[in-house]
Amino acid sequence: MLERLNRWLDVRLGHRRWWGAWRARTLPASPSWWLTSGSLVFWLLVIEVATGLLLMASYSPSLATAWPSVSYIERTAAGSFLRGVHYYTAQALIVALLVHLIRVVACGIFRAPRELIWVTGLLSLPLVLTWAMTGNPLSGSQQGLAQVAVEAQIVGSTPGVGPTLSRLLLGGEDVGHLTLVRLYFLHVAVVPLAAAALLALHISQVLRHGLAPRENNQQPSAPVPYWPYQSVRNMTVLALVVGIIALLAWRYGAPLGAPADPDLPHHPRPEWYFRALFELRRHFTGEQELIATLLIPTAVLLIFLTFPLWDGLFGRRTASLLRTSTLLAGLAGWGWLTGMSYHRDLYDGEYQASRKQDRIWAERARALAARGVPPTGPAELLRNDPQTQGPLLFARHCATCHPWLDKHGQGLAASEASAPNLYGFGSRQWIEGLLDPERIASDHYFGRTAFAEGEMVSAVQELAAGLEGDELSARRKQLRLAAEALAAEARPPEAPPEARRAAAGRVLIAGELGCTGCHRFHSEGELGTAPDLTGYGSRSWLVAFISDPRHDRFYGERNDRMPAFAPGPDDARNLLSQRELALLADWLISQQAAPSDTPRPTPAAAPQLTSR
Amino acid sequence: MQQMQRRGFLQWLTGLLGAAVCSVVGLPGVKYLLESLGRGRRTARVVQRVARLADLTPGRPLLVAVTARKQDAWTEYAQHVVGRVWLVKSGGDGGVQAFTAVCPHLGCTIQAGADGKTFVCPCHRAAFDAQGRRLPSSATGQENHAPRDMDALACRVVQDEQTGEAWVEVTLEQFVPGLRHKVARG
Repeated sequence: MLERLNRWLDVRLGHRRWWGAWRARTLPASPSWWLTSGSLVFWLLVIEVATGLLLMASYSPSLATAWPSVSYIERTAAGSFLRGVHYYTAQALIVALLVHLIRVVACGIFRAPRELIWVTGLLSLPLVLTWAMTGNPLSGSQQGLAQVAVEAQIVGSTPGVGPTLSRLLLGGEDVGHLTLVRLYFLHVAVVPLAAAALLALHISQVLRHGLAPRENNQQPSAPVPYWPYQSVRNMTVLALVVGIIALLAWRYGAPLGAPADPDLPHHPRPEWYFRALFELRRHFTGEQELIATLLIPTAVLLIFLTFPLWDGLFGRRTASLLRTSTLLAGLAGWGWLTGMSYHRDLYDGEYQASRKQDRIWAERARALAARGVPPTGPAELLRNDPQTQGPLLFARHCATCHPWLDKHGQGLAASEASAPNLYGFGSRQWIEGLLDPERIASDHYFGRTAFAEGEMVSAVQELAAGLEGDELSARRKQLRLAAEALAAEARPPEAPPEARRAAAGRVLIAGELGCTGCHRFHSEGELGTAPDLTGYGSRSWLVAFISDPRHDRFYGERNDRMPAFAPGPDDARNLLSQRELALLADWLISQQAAPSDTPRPTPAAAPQLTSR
Repeated sequence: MQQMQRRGFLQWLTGLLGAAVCSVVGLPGVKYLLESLGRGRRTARVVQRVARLADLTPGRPLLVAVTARKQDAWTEYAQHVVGRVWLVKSGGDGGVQAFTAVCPHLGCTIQAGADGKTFVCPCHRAAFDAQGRRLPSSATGQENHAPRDMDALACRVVQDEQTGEAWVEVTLEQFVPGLRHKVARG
C-alpha cells in the first residue's frame, strides 16, 4: 500500500531520483570533521527559522507591545527556553559561519569554477549580521532600542542616501512604533528571503560542482559515499553544538533588559560581534567616522571577495600565502579591537555600575509585568514604581544635602552632606537615634543644620542631663517608648507588645517628656512652634512636609535651608510634581519596614547617581 | 559484511542524533504552543449595576455595557467592556429583563430592530421579539439561524444605600453559541 503510494508520487514528483542522487554523493577524500562546517551553518539556520516561527506565535511588534509580549513569552519555561535557543543559535550561527569561511580559505575552495560558491558564502556574513542586528531590538528593551537608535544614526551619516535610509528604517524621525514594525518586517521577511535566495544559489553550486578536492591530495582508490560516513560526522557536530545551546538556553536564557525609557540612564553597547566596529569608531571622530563605519568594513569585504582573482594576479603560491596572512591579520585585528573594547568596559566603574543597575531594573520590570502591563506601554511599569523612581528622585532632589546611607555606608551619598541622614526615616530605629541625647546633635541628625543649636536638641539633651544609673536608663526607656509611638504614626503596629509600648509612648509624649510643649500631637499641643507629630513619617505627612517645610504645620519661619518642593497647587511651577512626591514618599515609607536590612535594590544606584 | 554492519550502524546513529536535535526544538515548541490554551481566560461572571431603573422606558430596549478588570495576554485593563446587555422594561408590571447581546448563533452582537422594539442580529438576520424569543421565518420572510432564544441573564432591581435610587443589577455570563440549549461557558 505504502509502496504503491510511493510509486504513484514518484511518477509525479520524481523524488526517488533526487533521493538516489543525494545518496550517491561521494566525498573527494575520506570523511572529515572539517567538512562539517557547511552542514552546521545550514542546520543552525533551520533551527533559527523554526524557533523564530514559534516565537512569532506570541510576539507583537510595537513600542507598546514588544517588550510586554517578550516578557510574556519569558514567563513560561518553554517560551523562555525557545527564546534562549533562538538567541544562542544566532550567536552560534555567526561563529559557525566564520569557521566555515576560514575553512574555505584554508582549503582554497574558491578556485574556478567555484567562484560563486565563495561570493555567495561571503555575502551571507553581512546578511546574517543584518539578520541579528534587526532581531536584537525586537525585544523593545532599553539596550535594544538604544542600539537601533545608534545604528540609525550611523546609517543616516552615509553621504547621499543616508538620511532617507535612516527614515525608512525608523519609520520616521525617531524610534517609535513603526521602527519595531520595520525591523520585524526586515527580520522575518526581507532578510530571510534574501538569505534563502543566497543559500539556494550557494547549495545548488556546491551540488553542481561537487565538493572541492583537497589540495595536493590524490584521489582515493574507491570513492567514499557521503551518506552516512560524512553525515554522521555532520550530525555529531550539530548535536554537540545544539547541546551547548540548549544548556545555555536552559541555564541562562536570553537576556531581557528593562523596557526602553529615555528617562532611565543607560550606557548602550553593541553585541559582541559589533564590538570591533564600536572600538574602531572610537579612533575616528567627526567626519572621519565614516571611515570606521563604512569604508573599512566595505574595503575588507571587497578584499575578501576578490580572493579567487589573486591566483591570476600573484601566482598560485604567493596568492595562497597572501590570502592566509590577510585572513589571519583580519582575525587578529578583529579580535584585538573586540578585546580592547571589553577591556575598557571592564575597568570602567561607571559602566559596570550602570550594568548592575540595568539588571536590577530589568528584574524589577519583569516582576511588575507579571501582574499585567498598563495599556499605555511597558515604560509605565518603572515610571510608576516607587522602588525605581524613589532613589532617582532622592538623588536628584534630596541628596545634595541629605545622605541616605545604611550603617555600612551603602546607599546614596550626599554631594554636600549638611542635613540628617534619611536612611530609614520614620522607622523606630531612626527616631530612637533622634531622641538619643548623645546622637541628636551628631552629623547623622541635626549636627550640620541650624537646629544643632536649636530648642529640640537642647530639650532632648536636657531630658538626660544630670541623670545617672537607674534614672538614666529609665529615661532612655521612656525615650524608646516615645520612638515606638512616633514610628506607629506611620506604621500602626501589628503585634500586641509593640502596640502596648506605642500606647505607653503616646502618653509620655503628651505628658512626662513634654514634647507637646512645642509639638502638636493629635489633640495635644499647638501648631506653629515645631513640626506636627500627628501622622509623623506617614505618606501624607511626608508629602505635605516635602511640599512645604516652611508651612506652619512644620518648621514655619524657623525652617533651615530645605526648599519647598511643591508649595503651590500648579505642578508646572513646582520642583516636584504631585506624582513625583507620591513616588518619593512611597519609597521612603517602604524603607521604614526593614531599615536594618541591607537596602535593596537601591545601593547600586549610588555610585552612578552621585557621580552625576 | 562488517562494512555493511558499520554502514547500518552509522545510518542509525545519524538518525538518532537528528531526532535528538529535532526534539530540542520540537518538544518545547509543542509545549509552548499548548501553554497558550491555559492562559488569558475570560472573565467568568460579573455582577454589576448597569442602569438606573428611571432610565428605562417600557417597550424600548436599552443596550448597556458591563465593565470589569481584564487581562488581555500581557496587558492589564483596569476597566474594560467585557460584555453588552440588552435591558427590557415591560409595560405592565414594570419588571426588567436582561439578555446578553451575544447572538446564540455565532456570537455577533445583537442590535435593535428597525422598529426599536425587537432585536435582530446583523450577521445572519436572526430576529427576536421584544421578549428575546426567536421570530419564526414566517414573520420575517427570512430563515432564522438562531438555534435558541436570546440568552436571559439574572437581573434584579436594587436600591442604592446612599441615594435611594433604584438600579438594575445584572449578572453577566457567557454561554456556548450554536447549541439548542443554553449552556454556561466553563
